[in-house]
Amino acid sequence: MKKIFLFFIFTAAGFSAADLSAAGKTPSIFACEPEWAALATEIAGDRAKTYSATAAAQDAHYIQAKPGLMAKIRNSDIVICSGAELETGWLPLILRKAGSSKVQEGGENLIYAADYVETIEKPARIDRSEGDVHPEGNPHIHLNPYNMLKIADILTEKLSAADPENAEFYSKSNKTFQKNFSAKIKEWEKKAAPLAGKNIITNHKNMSYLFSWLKIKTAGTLEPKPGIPATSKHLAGLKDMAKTEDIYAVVYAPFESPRAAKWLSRQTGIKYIMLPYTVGGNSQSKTLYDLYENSIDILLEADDK
Amino acid sequence: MCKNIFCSKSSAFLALAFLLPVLNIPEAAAQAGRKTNNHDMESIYKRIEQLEREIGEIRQKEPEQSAKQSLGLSAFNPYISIVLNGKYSYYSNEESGIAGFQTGEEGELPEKGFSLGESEINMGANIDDKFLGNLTAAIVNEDGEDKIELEEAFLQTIGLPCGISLTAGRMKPVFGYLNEKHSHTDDFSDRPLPYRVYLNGGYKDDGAQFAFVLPFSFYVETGGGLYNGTHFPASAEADRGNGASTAYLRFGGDIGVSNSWLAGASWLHSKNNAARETEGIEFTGKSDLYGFFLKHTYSPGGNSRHSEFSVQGEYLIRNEKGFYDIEGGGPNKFDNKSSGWYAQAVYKFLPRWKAGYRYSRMKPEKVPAALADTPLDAKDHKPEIHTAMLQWDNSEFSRIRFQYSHDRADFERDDRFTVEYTVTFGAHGAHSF
Repeated sequence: MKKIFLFFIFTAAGFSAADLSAAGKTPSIFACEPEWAALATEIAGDRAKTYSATAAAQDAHYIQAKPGLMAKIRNSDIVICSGAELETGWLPLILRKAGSSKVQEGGENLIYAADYVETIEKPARIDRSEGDVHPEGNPHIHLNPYNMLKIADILTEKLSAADPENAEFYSKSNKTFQKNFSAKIKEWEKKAAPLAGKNIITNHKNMSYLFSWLKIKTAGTLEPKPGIPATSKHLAGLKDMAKTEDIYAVVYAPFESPRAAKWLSRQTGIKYIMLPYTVGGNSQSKTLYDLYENSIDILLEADDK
Repeated sequence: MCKNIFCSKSSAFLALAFLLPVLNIPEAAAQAGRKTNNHDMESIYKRIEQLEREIGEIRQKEPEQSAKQSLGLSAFNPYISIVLNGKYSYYSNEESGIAGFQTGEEGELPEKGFSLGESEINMGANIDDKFLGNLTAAIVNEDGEDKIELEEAFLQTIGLPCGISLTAGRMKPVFGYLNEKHSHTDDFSDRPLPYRVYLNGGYKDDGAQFAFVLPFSFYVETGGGLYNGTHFPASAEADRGNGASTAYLRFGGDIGVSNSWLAGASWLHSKNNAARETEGIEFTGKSDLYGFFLKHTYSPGGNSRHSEFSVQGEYLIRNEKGFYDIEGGGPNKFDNKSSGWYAQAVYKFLPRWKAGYRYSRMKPEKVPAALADTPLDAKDHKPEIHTAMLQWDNSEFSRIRFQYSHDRADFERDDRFTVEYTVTFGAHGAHSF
């Protein structure tokens, strides 16, 4: 038994030594969510390997510290995440178990996007009776495209420091991105102008940045408290509210159950729609550009009926 | 977060006041001040933006200095989380034990009626850029007395190169799947038979452990440690510092987004040069424990919040060489192997509901003639327990669990019902795999 055991360990060590020497120089970017992976691809193109820890169908908060994630973070040079406690259930654990010093808390290559932008909806009362609140404010910052511009700068800077050979390339593609994306933002804002002032009910406040950017008002959430699934009592309250207020649509994300949204829609006749939330959230949202374009399209279409 | 302060314009202005001596631009401040009086907001914003950039540059050069200025002392408090656990248990046969085996204190089941499980206080923080510290104390009731038990008190390196980490202090060493886990994260309200028998619920000890995550595209980790050997199953008072040792290898990965798996092999060698005493039975000698486990989870689309199906199983083998002394009757030579295993399946069928089933079993070996009819003699009885549970999670932080066990671990059967609550509050705990 002992011999079998030691054999296992030595073989593994041998393999890893071989694997180490074969490791390339291409920097690896570990993105916690698909939107950051998409942004990294805009800046780094094929000069870096980009890995997204979560898929669009996953709620980034409820991820477990899975072995696959540990292997990926072990080999990553840059880690980019939303921050503001969105990944608090799993990222610290995998960093602690497998991350290098550069991607630790306070390390130079760990980017928490929420640290660089102004967060909204900071809770006035930090108490779990309010649900799973984030003291640092709403962490789903990516849906305001202006935030993307800021984070693109930060990422470019970190990437260039980690991989100086390609620094020029990164800075060039960032410039292109800033130019094209800024132009698009103006277009989107024009297009979305009719949405301003509309009232929306959302499942969880994970699209607040999109709504605040487009000046859409959040009239209510299907969840009674953040992280607490909809209850019939709470839904009945929303139904009553819909009688007096003009609600434009009920919105949910790809990783959320549509049941509560459907129910409210049936009861009130308000349209329920799934917004892509992140890159890959629906078949149209293949790139970062598609994400905002398609979200606005879906919101505008809701007006037809 | 300290960096946030630099993102809002007004706070950048405040920060500037601190930084002025460093920046050496009193004139700029004076200018900005005059313009405030004129309410010329636009140019102020422009100026602030420029200053923000300058602050940003300084911040990059001297991140520590900036951090000190924006954090109060309270920001250095460790994170604290508290776990409360209580249960009500009913037994049809209170005297029930495990035929052929002697368990340590914590391998036993709680008393019937109301009982508190481990009320746990966990504290931790990054100590600096190289170390983190963690302290877990459990308040337990043993023989009617409330005691504070030190579960963990370790420091661990962070960010060492090559995926290496070192841990030193009181810890739950890596062994099998369950050993390093806190019992409040388990899927059932008691540990499976082999853990209760071989590891006293979970082995903890003072020592040092190293871990090495190998640079593969899938997860491979190997490691091991040296411990004092003063906790069950070891009793190596005379050989402190080298009384117990572990080695392990575990590997795993993801198959698509929906499937994840983890497997491992572990070895725990423990010395018993001082007698290990459990209920009048003393063991001296040495023991080797081997463990193999496999865990697989499936959740459609990787969205484990909505539904998840997980299976998990472990197989433990123990080899004991030495002498058993039954209630002072003199040493009896013992060289024996026994094994035990469990397998479980847990299904999260609704976001807040889980149901699970576990089967656990021990396979005692024949004892030498001198030990016949002692508590170590299972007389061909194969201890086994069927366990079923149903669990409701109100949120990530609270749950209520119902559990039924059909217990044939002893010669007499025991039917057990348990209702249990577990809540955690304070810092957000980790979702470990």
